[in-house]
This record gives sequence, C-alpha cells and structure tokens, in this order.
Amino acid sequence: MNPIAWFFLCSAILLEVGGTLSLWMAVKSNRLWYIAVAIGYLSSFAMFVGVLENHMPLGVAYGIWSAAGVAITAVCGKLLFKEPFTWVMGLGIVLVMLGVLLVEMGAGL
Amino acid sequence: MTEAQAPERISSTPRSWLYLALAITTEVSGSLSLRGAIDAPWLYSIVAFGFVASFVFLSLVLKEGMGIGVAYGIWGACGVALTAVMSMLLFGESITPLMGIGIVVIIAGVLTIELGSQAAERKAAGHPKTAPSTREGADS
Repeated sequence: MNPIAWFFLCSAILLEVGGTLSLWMAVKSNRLWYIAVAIGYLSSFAMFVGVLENHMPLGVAYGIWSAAGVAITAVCGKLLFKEPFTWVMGLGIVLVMLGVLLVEMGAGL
Repeated sequence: MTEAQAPERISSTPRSWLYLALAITTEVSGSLSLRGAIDAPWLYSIVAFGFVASFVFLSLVLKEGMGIGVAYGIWGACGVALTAVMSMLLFGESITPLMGIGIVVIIAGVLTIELGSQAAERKAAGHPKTAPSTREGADS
C-alpha cells in the first residue's frame, strides 16, 4: 500500500465527517449547510476512488473509513455540539467500530 | 411559561428510531443497487434515490433530537452489517466466520449505545445540572 492511498483515505474520512457535521448544522441552524453536506460527501467519494486507484483493497479501505468516521463523528458531536456521551455509549461506539472492521476485513480471511 | 411546548429532547424518541431504520434501509438499498448496476444499469436510478432518501431520513432523525454521534454510529454500522447479509442472500457472496463475529459485535455495540444514551437521557432529565432554570425545575 502506498502513502498516496493513505493520504486519499484520510482526506475521504475528514471530508465525510465534515459532511456529517454539516448535516447536523443544516438541521439545527441554517439550511445553507446542506450545500456543505453535498460538497463534503461528493468530494469524499471522489477521494475514495483515489484510494482504490492506489490499490488499497476495498474491504480494508471501507472498514477503516467507516470505523474512523464513526469515532471522529462521536467525538466531534461531544466536543462541538455538547452531546451527552457516557462511558457506556463510548463502549458501544468502540464495539461498533470493531464490528465494522471485522465485517469489512474478514472477507478475505 | 413555555411548559406546554415540546421539551428540548437530547436523545431518542420512538419516531427517531423509525426514521433511523428507514435511513438504514434506503442506504442499504442504494449500496446493493450499486453492486447490481454493473449488470443492470437502470439500477443507478435506485442508487441515487436510495442515497438521497437516506440523507433525508437521517436529517429527520437529527430533527427528532437524536445525537449525531449515536445516529451516525448506528446508521453506518447497521448499513455495513445489513449490506453484508443481503449481499450473501442476493449475490451469493460468502460471509466468513470473522464477518459473522463482526455482525454480532455490531449488534452488541448498537444495543450498548442505545442503553447508554437512555441512561444519559434519564440522568439529564433528573439532574438539575443540565436544567439552567432553577426556579422552574418542577418538570423533571
């Protein structure tokens, strides 16, 4: 796996998290944020194509993408939007991430 | 004086779970159609419809007051698990034992998140810390 693939993957994750947080803003404050949602997700998918073109296996890429997205979104929800977050919920998020990684990476094993 | 209005909800309502289920189902339909579109290009219309509908439902989930961390975690993970199961049923793709464990872990994780957010909701409802007005704290 080459470093360019990882660069694309990190970009895809951050753009997607940005899109998701914008969705929250669109719902809670101003509808103009829907534009940011569209830009975030479309550019995220474009980056993801870049990941696959640089020969990262689909399951690995998608697993890391989903799991990291879940974690970063949960942390941002707590920090930016002051959402309630207990250690039980944190445990649930960790389990979900683990499960996603297993499903996506377990295909070839 | 605004006691009759809907209180600021911090977590899930039954309706938010309905919307979340619809967001997951439409997203999985979109993903599966994407796979099927290689053989049947008309399915691209279902792909577009599925993903757009999924975002509409997801924003309704947020409107109902579910947190973005909880909603997104459950939406993403259930989508992954359900897509794997449906790919097995529709396209004959195999589910390895490791993937099976992953699906069970996802289900456990989703239940844990829900338990945790219910507890957080109860705690916030019964806790004066989160209610800024001290005089009208009789609603809890």
